[in-house]
Amino acid sequence: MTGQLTPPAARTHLGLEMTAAATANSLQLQCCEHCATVQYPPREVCRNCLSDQLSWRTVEPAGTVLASSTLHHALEPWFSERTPWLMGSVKLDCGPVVLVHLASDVANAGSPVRVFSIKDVSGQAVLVGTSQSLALDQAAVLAHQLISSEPKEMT
Amino acid sequence: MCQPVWAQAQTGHRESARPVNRKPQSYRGVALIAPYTVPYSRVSERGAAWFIGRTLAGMLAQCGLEKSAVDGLAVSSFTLPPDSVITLTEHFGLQPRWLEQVPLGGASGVVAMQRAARAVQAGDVEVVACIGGDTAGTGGFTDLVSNFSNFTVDAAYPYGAAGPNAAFSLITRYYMDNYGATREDFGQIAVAQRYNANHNADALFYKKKLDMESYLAGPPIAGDVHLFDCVMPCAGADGFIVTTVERAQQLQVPWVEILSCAEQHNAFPDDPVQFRGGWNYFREDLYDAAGLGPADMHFLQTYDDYPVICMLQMEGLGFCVQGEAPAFVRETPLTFDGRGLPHNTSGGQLSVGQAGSAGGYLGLVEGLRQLTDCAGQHQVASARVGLVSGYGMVNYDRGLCASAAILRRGGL
Repeated sequence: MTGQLTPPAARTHLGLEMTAAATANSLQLQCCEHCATVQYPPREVCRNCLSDQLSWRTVEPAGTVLASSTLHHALEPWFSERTPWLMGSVKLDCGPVVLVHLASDVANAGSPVRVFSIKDVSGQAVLVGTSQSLALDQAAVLAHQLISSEPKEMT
Repeated sequence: MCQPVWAQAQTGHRESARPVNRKPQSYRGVALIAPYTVPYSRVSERGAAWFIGRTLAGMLAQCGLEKSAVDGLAVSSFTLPPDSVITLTEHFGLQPRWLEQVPLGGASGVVAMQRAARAVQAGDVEVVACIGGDTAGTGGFTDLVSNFSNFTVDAAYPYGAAGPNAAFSLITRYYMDNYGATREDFGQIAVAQRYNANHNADALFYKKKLDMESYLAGPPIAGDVHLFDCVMPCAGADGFIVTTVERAQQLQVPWVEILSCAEQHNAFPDDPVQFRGGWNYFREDLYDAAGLGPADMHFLQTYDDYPVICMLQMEGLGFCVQGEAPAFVRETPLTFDGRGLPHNTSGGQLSVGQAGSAGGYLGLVEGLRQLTDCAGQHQVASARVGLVSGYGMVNYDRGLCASAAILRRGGL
């Protein structure tokens, strides 16, 4: 039973596009071909100029933690088996604020982070923030570990 | 008479660069009557239409109107679909000439009131029933939260599936980091509201006391948000009727008049985390139109999905300056009988319960009760004028809607 659980897999067609665009060790977000505004969450039209010419592109993954939260209660069993779970919000240097799964050493506001778009256990892309002080390949490994952790021991 | 601590607070300058060239007209001639609540319950087998329909019946009985007199209907409900305001006309046997459905969550009550008031003033309609109501089945809350909006589905729910608790824990953390608020400060709001609810037999927590020690001992839910910072999802409904002063006088019922009201949505989209809202845009116009300031208010009803949001409203509406709500709530009694600033005098959602869209009407309906002397055991002595504020709809990382109204006892 436990083995069949996954994080939420439901996405809109734009969320599915994000999964299709996700590339190893980097961050892909929608960019406006008309005004270059980086978009998030995924949109049908540009939040700045309303153009519909939005393309998934690799963007600068650096950002700063705005706030983090340790979740003790979840509405989905996959997360309930893994609480406490750390997530947070990050202001990306390229513009948007993104909600991310967060590494514990960058929980404080102001922490510099690198954000990856990678596939979680459900097969859908999610964003993960890790310390900028890690080498790229180490950071990518940690990001995968964070979102594919084993459930805690149930007592 | 001694000025309350917060009376010196300035209404402040407009924080929006947007010029407002046209002043709204007054709401003269409009009457708000028949505040009514269908008592809340933790879960219900009934549909949303039951809660809305029984609210309509209760309001009509209260003011002596026939159902056939209702020529306008405004509703807000998350659990009504696939039904809607139009299908309710057939369900309830109404023949209205004016319909509105306001999907603005916690801002819905004031917004429905404002739209109905303008239609009544213009003569398009004479008697509008405004109702927010929802049912609550087991598991329904997860369905609502997980599919709340497209942004939620793609960019919020996958990050821990904690629903609104996650977004508000981030807003709470940011506020604590920037303004030095502590959990005790949030506790001042929650504990005072519980005291108010202990005087309101309709509150789900009517018989459960809450002191600061118990508040602080509440188990953590998400970050700094602990159990007693969260509302209890439940079933219920609140409503009121918007009509003319003439009709209210004919019915010989007490009425409330609108001195001013406003709504503002998606304010400050470039703030990285929400620490203010639409109230900061319209505050000055709101008080100017009423000819009053925050110090003149005999009560404040805020939208209290979490205590930090009450603080944003106290600041945004000029009861204290930005960032000083923690000191304000420490220094100002918030209970209905504390002679400070009576706040969420029914107990608010934190202690009455959050019946979905009814949460966006609860503060307004309570304000109408206070101004018509029918708040029973939690009546604020000599309440003649008060402010009701709304907030709602977390699409991604912040609430998008803000609304507020200054109301006065009619016939003064």
